[in-house]
Amino acid sequence: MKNKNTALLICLFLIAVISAGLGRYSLFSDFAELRENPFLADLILDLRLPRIATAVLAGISLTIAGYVMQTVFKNPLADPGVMGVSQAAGFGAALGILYFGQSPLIIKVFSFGFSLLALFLVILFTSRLKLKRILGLVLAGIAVSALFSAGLGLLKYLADPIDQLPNIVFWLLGSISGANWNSFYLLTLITFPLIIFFFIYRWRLNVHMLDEKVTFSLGIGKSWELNLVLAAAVLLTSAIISTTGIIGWVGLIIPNYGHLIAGPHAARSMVFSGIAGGIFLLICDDLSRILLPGEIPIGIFTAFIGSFLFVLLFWKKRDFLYS
Amino acid sequence: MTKIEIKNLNFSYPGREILQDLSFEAGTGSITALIGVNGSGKTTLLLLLLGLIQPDSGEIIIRSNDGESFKPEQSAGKIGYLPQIERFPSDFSVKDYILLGRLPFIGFFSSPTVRDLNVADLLISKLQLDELSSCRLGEISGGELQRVRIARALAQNPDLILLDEPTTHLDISHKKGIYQLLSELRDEGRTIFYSTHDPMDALKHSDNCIMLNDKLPAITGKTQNIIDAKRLSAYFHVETEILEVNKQKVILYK
Repeated sequence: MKNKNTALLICLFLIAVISAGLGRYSLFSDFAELRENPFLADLILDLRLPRIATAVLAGISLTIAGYVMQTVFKNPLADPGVMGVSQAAGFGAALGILYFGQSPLIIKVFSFGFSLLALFLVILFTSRLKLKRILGLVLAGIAVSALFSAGLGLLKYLADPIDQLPNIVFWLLGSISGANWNSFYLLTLITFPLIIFFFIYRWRLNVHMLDEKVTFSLGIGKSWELNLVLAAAVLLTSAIISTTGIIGWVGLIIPNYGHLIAGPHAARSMVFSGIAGGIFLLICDDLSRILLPGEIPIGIFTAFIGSFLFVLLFWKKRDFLYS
Repeated sequence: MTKIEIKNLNFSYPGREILQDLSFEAGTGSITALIGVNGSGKTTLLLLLLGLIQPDSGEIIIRSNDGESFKPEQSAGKIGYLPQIERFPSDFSVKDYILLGRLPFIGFFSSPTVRDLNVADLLISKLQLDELSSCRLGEISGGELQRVRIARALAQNPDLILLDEPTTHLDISHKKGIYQLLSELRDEGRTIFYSTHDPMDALKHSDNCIMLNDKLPAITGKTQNIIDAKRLSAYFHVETEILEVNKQKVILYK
């Protein structure tokens, strides 16, 4: 297993190096020009590199968050936004765009704040509903998601169609184009501890795949552990999407491939999935900045490639699905 | 090692009384069968013993040999439990699944040690699962799955084991295998409760019996003393007769 992870890590490194060379000014074809013009070298160091680093970090984080959600909800179709986080983040961002001057920092703070509010509401609802915990979380997640999606719809309707609406739409499709070293450092500050938390927690994560009565008999009936794990996954997701906008499909599809290739056990496939997610999002981001002279939202590529990977996945698992 | 005391237990679901004033004691190294028709409260009683639900009144006390006593909900991983229907990760290997049963011994941020792996290996050979250890749970038969689940519960090294309908879907040879295993576990000094809707199972494979019916008061005691045709007829709503064939009791119903 260690070998698979190492191979994939080397793969990630190589793709990152190649990505650094690709773009409007290519290291491969415009090398002479780059050597003469120090401004262009700065362009690579200060714009392209932090963007690559952010794409990889976002890919890893969203995949791990998706992996955790799928495990805890015992459902391979769960994604990082399953608890209403994405819609809430979108609502927060739209609010920032509409009423608070569209500054990137305000948008970030608002979308992060509202996704945390969504988490709080979901946990509050679940503790009030006297249902099975997982079922309660799913239902509360649907309700909270619908609530914020209604709010988001209203804000879109109210938004100025020339100036504000395109920004909202662009944000909702996700983009890493705004990344710089400062935003990357800020992001690592939140995501690194959480990624390390999941890394050392990964064996125990499997326990959440068991029946709730069985986990109770094993001594983790108390809800704080589940809430802690969910909150960490939501925090990880919120940190990323408040910076990049909503990037779908990574957290849904990559953990499934991780399971397929590296096995169902989190001790073996979580790290693998994380690295694969980094590679996937890096490639999508490369496409979004290279394919056209202008910027294409990354969410379009993750969904486009994701849909093919999704079909391929259930084609591969068809025997299992039929039985 | 573990004595169970149930004192004046009452439990009801909204609008429906299930257990009324149930008192019972099970000693160390005993098997207690819970029998009754569907809906008579067998599973409910097991969940009360597990501590997952709380009684309306009365109490359950678990006393270990060293004088320690605690309530089920304070047992933190010391009670093994097999639900009748269990959701499990079907692509997990048998060994990985059994290892999850070691959870109470594994710290929050660690993974199984050599000791945990040894325990799992020991259980795999004890329950004759050697050939299955790398199979996926979704690929093995119902009888094998029951043995695997028992191994998962034993990985906790519990003194008290609760099994909900452990032999319901099994053929007679696997059924016999499971009951043999339960009596071996009893002989190791573990206290076992299981539920069954077949009074014949209780008659053959238990020391004590709790006969439940949501309309009638529970009957408790030594299995051989309390299971008779008259009571079975009343508690199972069908006319029954107990015959002795080759020194073995057989329950007939008309």
